[in-house]
Order: sequence, then structure tokens, then C-alpha cells
Amino acid sequence: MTEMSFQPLSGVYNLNRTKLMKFVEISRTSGFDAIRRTFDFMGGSLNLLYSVLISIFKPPFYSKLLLEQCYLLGVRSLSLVFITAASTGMVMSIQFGYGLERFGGKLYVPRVVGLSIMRELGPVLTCLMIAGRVGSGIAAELGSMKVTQQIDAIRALGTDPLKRIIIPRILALFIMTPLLAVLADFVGIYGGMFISYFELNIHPSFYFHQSVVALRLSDFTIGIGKTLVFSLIIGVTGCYYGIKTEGGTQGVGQATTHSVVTSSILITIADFILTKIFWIFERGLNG
Amino acid sequence: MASTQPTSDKGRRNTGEQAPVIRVIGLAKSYGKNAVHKDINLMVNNGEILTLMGGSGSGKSVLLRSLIGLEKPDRGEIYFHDQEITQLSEEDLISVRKRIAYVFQYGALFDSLTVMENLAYPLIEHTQLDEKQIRDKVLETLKKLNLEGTHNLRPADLSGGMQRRVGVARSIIMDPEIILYDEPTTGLDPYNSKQIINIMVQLKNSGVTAVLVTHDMHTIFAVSDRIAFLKDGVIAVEGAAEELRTSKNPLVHGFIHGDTM
Ligand SMILES: Nc1ncnc2c1ncn2[C@@H]1O[C@H](COP(=O)(O)OP(=O)(O)OP(=O)(O)O)[C@@H](O)[C@H]1O
Ligand SMILES: [Mg+2]
Repeated sequence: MTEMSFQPLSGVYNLNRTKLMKFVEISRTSGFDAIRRTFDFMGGSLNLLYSVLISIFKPPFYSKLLLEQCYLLGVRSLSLVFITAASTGMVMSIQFGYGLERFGGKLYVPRVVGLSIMRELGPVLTCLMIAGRVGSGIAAELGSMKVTQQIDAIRALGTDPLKRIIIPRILALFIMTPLLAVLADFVGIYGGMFISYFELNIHPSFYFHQSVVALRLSDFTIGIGKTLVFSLIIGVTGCYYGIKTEGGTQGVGQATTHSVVTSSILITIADFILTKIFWIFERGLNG
Repeated sequence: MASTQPTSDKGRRNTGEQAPVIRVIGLAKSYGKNAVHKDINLMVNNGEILTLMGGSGSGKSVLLRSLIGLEKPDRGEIYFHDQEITQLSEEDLISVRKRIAYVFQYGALFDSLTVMENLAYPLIEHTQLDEKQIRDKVLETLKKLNLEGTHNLRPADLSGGMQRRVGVARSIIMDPEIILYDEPTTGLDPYNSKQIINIMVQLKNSGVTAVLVTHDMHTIFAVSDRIAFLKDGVIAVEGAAEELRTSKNPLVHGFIHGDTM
């Protein structure tokens, strides 16, 4: 080790310089890479969505495959959505119950919980859960099909992967996600009611009445409306990363991760934008 | 069927008694900086088995994939009879793909479907057969490949060799005019290889044209009529299988006796 100090200075400098260059090079390429991937994703997924939209009304229609996907993606997600919504409603009740009690606002719990679940938490948490369960599943399944050449086989056999595997999944999500969100809304509010009765001594009939009074139809429809956008995000992202998969099993893992991360981020961003837009419209409508 | 436009003179060269069913003219394809094909010219005559040989990564699979439009070349033309296919859309390629079958290297079976459903897939998509007729046809095809009794299993429950045979069965069930085999016997035990070679010979005797990619000398000399060597993006040598077997050409000799691969 001591010999190091006898080395000419230029050697040390060179060493550091090459290391530094390497670091700069890596960070630059990976930085560019990330940007390139982002643009690839935006272009590719919009392209995919466009192809889906133009071929969705053209025959052949695979209604059996669609039903199967509705079952696999939607019905099989029931318990997950149920548990998420129930615990959200219960947690919200406790938090707001004890939180608002300090200001004597315990009786507002039903309204606050109802409003936040209907407008925000029901739809968004449902969709984040679905992105985790279904979006990842789609990416993994299509990714494995890609790397084992099953997608090529679909084409080689004279059929269209878009129609056979992509459209049924995207459409099934588009149909089932709003339904699951409706379920989440009701389960969440009932969860809140349940905890309010046992923990906060708020009678269910009062709770129910308060929820009905406080909530407008638009609170409900806006929440559900958002899930239509979110479901497209989940479906298109999952399918995009699935069919872009390359590089064997490792690629499948990456596709799955990318799909969940990307769709979760996009859901939260879209949620903000949609919420803002809806409020602008509602303000406008109500004077 | 899509239009059969009169083709260019270039495409009409060889009109002997053996009409070519596939003509590849000036094909080029690159992936980024990797120029896989530079200028491929090739003909496949009616009823023959043409074998493509070449080192690993020389672009044999890419060429085979191009023949049914799974890969779009950068330049060049591919004629299936008189129809140019490189410019066709996926939709128009369907009519071509109904007549040219592709046997994938590892079978590429749909693993969410049973063997029966895998084989029934093209029949359901492209024919008017009823359920009973489809079932009969599937069982008959499985029998040809000695796969009786497997129809209710899923691909994952089959051995590798059986999966490959099911893959062949699915490709031939539509009675294609042309079959493209991508390494159908590579890595298989002698029994499974023999089953596949047998079916290839049977199909050839019934007049089916084929293009075969393989490294397996036994398969090559059991079935090939002609052999084409792919090297550096062009067809370097091409000729009758029997002639090339004894050829003194260093490239050919190298391939056949394993010095180059
Ligand atoms: N989708 C693709 N993207 C990028 N490069 C590709 C793609 N497909 C093939 N290649 C490249 O093209 C070249 C030829 O590949 P191909 O699979 O045709 O080789 P091959 O002759 O079939 O080899 P092998 O005998 O190993 O199967 C390889 O260098 C490969 O990396
Ligand atoms: Mg290959």
C-alpha cells in the first residue's frame, strides 16, 4: 500500500480522472436512459391506447375472453378491495372521531368520512390496489408470453394479440374497476359507521342520515368517474410493459415492477389533475 | 385474398417446372448498428425442403420470421407466390399466415390452454368446423405425432420433447402449404427427434414445401433437398444437399464437419 505514495502524481490523477469520467459517463447515460425510457413509454402507451380505440369496434369480438378477464381481474379482486375499503373507513372514523372530539366536532365524523371516501379514498385506494394486483399480473403474464414467443405464435397463427389479449384485459379493467370502486365506497362508509357506533357512540341511523345529507350525487359520480381514467392507466401501462418485455425472466420481473411503479405514479398525478379540474367545473356550476 | 398484382421482372426469374413459392430479393435488416442481413437473395421451390445453415447469430431465425411478416425488413422484397408481403399490414398478413405455418424453436405453446385447446386454436379462428369436427381433427393430428392421450394436459405437464411435438402438431393442423421450422429437433433426444423428422418427411411426401433452420446434421441430411449457408448477411453458398455434403468448399466443409460452428 505504501508504494502508492511513490507513484507519479499523474498516475493518481489519471486513476481519479478515469473513475470520474466513468461516473460522469454512467450518470449521463443512465440519466439519458431514464429520459428516453419516459418518452418511449409516453409514445408507446399512447400509441397502444390509440390502436386499442380504433380496433375495439372492429370484429372479431372475443366476448368469452372478455368475460373471463372480468372474472379474473375484477371478481377475484373483490376481497382485496373489500378489506382495503373497510379498514380505510374504520381508520378514518377513529382518526377523525378522536381528532375532532378535541374541538367538539365529533358529530361531523359521518360527513367527513363519507366525503373523503366517496370523492377520494374509495376510488384512489381501490385503483392503487388494483394496480398492484392486476396491473402487475398483466405485465407479468404478457411479459412471459412475450419471452416464450407466445405473442409471436398468436401472430403466426393469423390472429391479433391486440384483440385476443390486450383489448379483453383493458376493457375488463374499464368495466370492473368502477364497479369495485362503488363497492369500496359503500364498504368504506359502512366500516366508518361500524366503528363510530362502537368507539364513538354515534348511532347508525344518525350516521346514515348525516352521510346522505352531506353527500351530493356529484361527489359519488366524480369519484367513480375518476376510476375510468385510472383503469385505463392500469390496463395500458400493464399491457405496454408486458409486450415490451425483453431478456427472459429477468425482463419479466422488470416489466412487472415498472408497470406497478409507473401506474401508481400516474394514478396519483392524474388524481390531482382530475380533482382540480372537477372542482373548477363544480365551482363554476354552483355559481 | 389480397390482390395479386403483377410483379416486377426481377421476381419472375425462375419460371421452370419448379415454380418458386417464396422469393426473397435484396433483403436487408439491421438492429441498431448490427446489420444482420445485408443482401439476401433466396428462392424456395415448390415441394422442396430448403435448409438454412449459418453460425449462431447469423440471422437465420430473423430470416425465417421475415418470411411470415413477424419481422419487417429495412429493404428488399419477399414474394409468396406473386404477392409481395413485406409491405402488408398485420390484417392483410392473416391470409398469408393461414397458408404458411411457423414451428417455433421451443414450441411457443399457450400455457394457459390445454393441448386440445392449443391445437383447436387455429381451427376455431379460421375454419367453420363444428366442435365435434375440431375435436376429431385435433385427435387425428396428435396421433400423427404419437401424442395420443395428451389432449387434456397443459403444456407445463409435458416433457420438452412432447411440447415441441405439440408445437409441430399445432402448426400443421391447418394443412399449410409451407412450413417454416426453427430448429425443430435441436436439443431433443433421439426418440423425439425421430418423431419430428418422420413427420417432416411425411409432409414433404405429401407435397408440403418447407424451410428448415437447424444445426443438426442428422436432421439436415435426412430431409433436405437444398442447403443455403448464411454468412455475414448474405447467402454465401447454396446448392443441392447431396453435392454440398461432399463439397470441398472450406466454408461448407467447416459447417458440416463442425469446424466453424
Ligand atoms: N428483436 C431484436 N432486437 C435486436 N436484435 C435482434 C433482435 N432479433 C435478433 N436480433 C439480433 O440479430 C442477430 C441474428 O439473430 P437470429 O436469432 O436470427 O440468429 P440465429 O441465426 O437464429 O442464431 P441461433 O442459431 O443462435 O438461433 C443476433 O445478433 C441478434 O442479437
Ligand atoms: Mg435462431
